[in-house]
Amino acid sequence: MTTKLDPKKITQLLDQSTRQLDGKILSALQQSRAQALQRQSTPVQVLGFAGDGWTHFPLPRSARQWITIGLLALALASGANLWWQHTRHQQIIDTDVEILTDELPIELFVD
Amino acid sequence: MKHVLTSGFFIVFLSVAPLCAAEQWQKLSPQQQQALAPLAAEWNSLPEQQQKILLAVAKRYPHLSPAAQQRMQHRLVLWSNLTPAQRKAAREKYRAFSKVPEKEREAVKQMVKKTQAAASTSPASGVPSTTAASTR
Repeated sequence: MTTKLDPKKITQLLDQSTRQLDGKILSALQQSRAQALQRQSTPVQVLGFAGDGWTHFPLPRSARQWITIGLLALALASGANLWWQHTRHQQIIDTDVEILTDELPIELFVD
Repeated sequence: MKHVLTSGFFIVFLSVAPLCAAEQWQKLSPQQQQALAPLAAEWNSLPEQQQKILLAVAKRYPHLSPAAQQRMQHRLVLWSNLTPAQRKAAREKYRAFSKVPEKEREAVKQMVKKTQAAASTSPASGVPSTTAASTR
């Protein structure tokens, strides 16, 4: 059990045992392999890692993905801006109502 | 893709749309006109942004106590005649004053009331000298 096998030896052994396999099993295995390879080569339309080994950021791969990301960023920025404007507007209204109705005279706060 | 583009344009439109909303005095509802009555003469010449804020203020008018409604109407003209910078400064002062402890605020209120009572002329702001119920 302590015998060391080098990769070449393993390949030889595998080839040898494959030759001994039944024809039906062999063709089924070949078919499965072909199918697996076909699935692997099918282009996937989702964002994925650039995968150059050193890159860890998911980068868009096509112009379409860039546009989608740009629009999402735009939507996010617009939403944030809208929310900020609304909050600021509400704060101004709240303060104005308070100033206009407070028991203290308005002149106290005006220069 | 089409949906993404459509929603993108829709969002941009939504963020720009609220900026375009000037209203003529004649087009205001009777409730709005009642709340903003002191500004009837100058309403159409007010900047859009100020109109927008005043319309939002007017929305709260029906929910105020009668004393607060009176105070608000007395102060509207003076408030509208201030420059945007003056209003901004007044808001900041008011917010700062709101952060002062309740006791000290009450002391200031009492002092102002005494001053008002001592003054023979009526105040320019139209603040009723009676101790009106708080609006908040």
